[in-house]
Amino acid sequence: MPPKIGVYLCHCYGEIGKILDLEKLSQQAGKWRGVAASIHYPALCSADGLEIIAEDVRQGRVDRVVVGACSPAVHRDTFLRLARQAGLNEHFLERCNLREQCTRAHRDQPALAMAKARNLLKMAVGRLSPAESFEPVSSSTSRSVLVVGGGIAGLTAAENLARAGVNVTLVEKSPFLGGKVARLHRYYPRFCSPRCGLEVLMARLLATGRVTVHTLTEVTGVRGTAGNFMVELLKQPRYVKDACTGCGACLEVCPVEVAPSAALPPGRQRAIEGPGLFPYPLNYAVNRVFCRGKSCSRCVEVCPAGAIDLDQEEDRLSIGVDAIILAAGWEPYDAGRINNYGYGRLPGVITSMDLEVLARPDGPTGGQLIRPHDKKPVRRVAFIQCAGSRDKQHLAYCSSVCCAATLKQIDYVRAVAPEAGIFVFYMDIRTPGNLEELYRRTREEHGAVFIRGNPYAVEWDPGAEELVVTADDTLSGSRVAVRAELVVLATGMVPCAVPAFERLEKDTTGFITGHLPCSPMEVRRAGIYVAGCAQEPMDVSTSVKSALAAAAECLATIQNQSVVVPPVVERHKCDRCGRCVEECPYGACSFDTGGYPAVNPLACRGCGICQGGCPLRCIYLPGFSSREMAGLIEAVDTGSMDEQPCVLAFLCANDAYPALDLAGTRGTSYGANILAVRVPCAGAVNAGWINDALLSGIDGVLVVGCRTTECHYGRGTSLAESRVNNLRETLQRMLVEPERVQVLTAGIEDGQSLVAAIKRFVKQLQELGPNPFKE
Amino acid sequence: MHEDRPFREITLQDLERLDPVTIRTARSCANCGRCGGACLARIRDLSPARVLRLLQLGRLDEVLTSRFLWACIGCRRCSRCCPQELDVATAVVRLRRLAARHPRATFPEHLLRLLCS
Repeated sequence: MPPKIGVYLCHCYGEIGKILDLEKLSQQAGKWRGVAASIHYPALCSADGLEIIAEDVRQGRVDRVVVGACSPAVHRDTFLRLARQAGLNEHFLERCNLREQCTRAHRDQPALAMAKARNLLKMAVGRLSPAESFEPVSSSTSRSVLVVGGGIAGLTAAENLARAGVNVTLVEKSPFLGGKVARLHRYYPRFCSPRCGLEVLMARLLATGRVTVHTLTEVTGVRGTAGNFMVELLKQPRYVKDACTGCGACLEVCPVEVAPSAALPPGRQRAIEGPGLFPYPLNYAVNRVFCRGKSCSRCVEVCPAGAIDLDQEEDRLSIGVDAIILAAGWEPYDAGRINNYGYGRLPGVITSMDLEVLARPDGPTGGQLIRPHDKKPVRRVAFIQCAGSRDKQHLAYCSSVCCAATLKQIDYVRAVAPEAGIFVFYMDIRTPGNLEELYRRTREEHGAVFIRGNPYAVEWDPGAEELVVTADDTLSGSRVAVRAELVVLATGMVPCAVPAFERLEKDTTGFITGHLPCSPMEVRRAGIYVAGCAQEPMDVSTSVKSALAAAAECLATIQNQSVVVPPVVERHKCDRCGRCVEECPYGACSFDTGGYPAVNPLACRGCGICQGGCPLRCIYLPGFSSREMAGLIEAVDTGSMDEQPCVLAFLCANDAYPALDLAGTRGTSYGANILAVRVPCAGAVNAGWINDALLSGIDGVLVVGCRTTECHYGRGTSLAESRVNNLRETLQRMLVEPERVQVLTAGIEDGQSLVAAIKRFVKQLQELGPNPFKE
Repeated sequence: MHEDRPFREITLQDLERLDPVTIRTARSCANCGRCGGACLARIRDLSPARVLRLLQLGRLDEVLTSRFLWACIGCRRCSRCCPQELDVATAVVRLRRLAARHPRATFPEHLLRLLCS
């Protein structure tokens, strides 16, 4: 059945009608092929205007609609609602920009504006005639999520997803849950014990009955995309069976003492480990790095429950999940690498994580403030901030938590040693928001002395058996020395490496993050969300917040509703080259059993980068099939431009299209010969369209994307550039000047500079002369 | 180099001679430097901001022997502008009491003559 297209032109109360002769345009459009109705009306967005269109659709007079009015960037929901109410498939409604990019931009040249309007309308009609309808896709998922990491972020995300009815598998590589937070003595801002918060969280998590926990387990492989990930897990043996009652008899007999860190002497820790103050799971675990194995076996003999089995072997399992939350956490930067501070070499030099262990009642000194290795009472403590941080030789970034963590630890020191001298060497104290109060209290009530300068060295005075920290106090302009029994290095945070996720995009600091600021939780592989310190250095409260955010975004994905209408694959044309699978920034495209690309609607974000790269143009988003694009290109009347070169401009819908709208709205004139086509991303522009446009006599083609660092889809603009570069060689062989194609970038507010760049391009085209293929 | 500008060890014992209000003012100071900018005293071997910084580092002697302490005209601009709402001017006045008894005090000549005549 041939299409019945309705062309509806809007006067926009004179904004359009005063410049364009809509009566004439409407009559001309009425004669075009496929057009069944053509009218003009004072304001189509008014209730009456919308009703005219809706009535035509309902009566069956038209089945496709071209709205010649304002930019598609405005009144989006108005016309979408109209389509839904009138029962028109939304892909059968084409917006034609007669206001921002026609009458507003060319108000001083009504005749040219008229020619441009005719071209734009004809392109819309030409594109709509062969259009197909698309239905929103939903797919079924079993609603299951893998959470990687059993620290506070992972536990929070797991607990919230489970409460929302999702089945969660939680994997933790160490033998016990709780992560770094379980090792802290207190956390700020309330200075309460983290065990309390973790217990509440754990109780709620267990109450859901939906979380399966695997400790001593690492992810070794991830395949698939959102909605159907296949995850390989490797479970290390615990050597202690579930019969363990946690009595601790094994700990008494274990001969291998284990030091908590390079700077701390062994305390009560042994090669068989207990769960500590946050007992989940309750079972002990044998650390095979230190254990002497079966030659010793004292623990096996003494265990009243017979729970210890040194023959246990590793276990591999694979599970299917819909989404993954990566909360792998952080490690402290290796303080031993900061040579001049003597960590691991000088007694009494410890890190802030070491101080957390020392401060705890179950630590090696029982919570007393004594120097761990020689039990000397500590009269003075020096804290060194930014130990290895904001230092290009170590960590170039600020870990954001160390300032507040040190202020918190000064509180620990004051609690047990009211007379101790406390000195803080710092570059800047960063205590945003309410933490400023902590800083004030530390100065005023705890009397800590702040020395503004990063110490050059920490040295050992053998006579006094003291450490000497030397620095330049830049506030007083004098060199100062501090003698102390204990020096605490506030080391920064390094993301934990998870080899299975190594290929995910990282920021310059090595942390894995999503698109900032638009979708920070979802990484550039749809269905994988990042939470906690795997994303960036953050404190406990921020970590919990990020876990909640990741859980919320993850929930939206597994609700079985796709975000966009995904591209279609024409299998009869496809030669299975796999370029779409390779280039999809979200991993949404994969091979089906026949080796053809299949798009996962849950993972697709609608960028169209697949269609831009397809050599056979057999994968496309709604509105961009080869028939529709051919209809659009053939509709352009290249001779109507008053000797001006005719330019087809593919503009990215995020930045470039609104930028050109803005230029028009501000009355910036740029010549009526620029015919814009809105594309989701510069990366969605297929080189074949450019080729077709030039062969049909269009003088030049522009592709305008976002600035490379700002692309919503990551590499859209750079892909467009490399594809156009490849096309240039082909053009040269066809004796078309390669300069007729250009890729530009523009920010959303760059209307003026975009127009200037377009004008330069047009000037260049004028110098080249008309397209040799022009009739 | 080390000889020219030796490292000065920070000891805070001297501060025990100070009264509680002055100690609290010095401790609470966040070293923003605004008082130093506001000060109208003509003799500036030190400034209110520098006085507080030296006290923080325990260098009371340098403060008590400074000429600035006697150059303060009591305009209280330092106290009014302090973002931590510290009474810097009062601290300076109280420091004068200690300075007057200091063996190397820079007590101004004309005041001395006035008092001794």
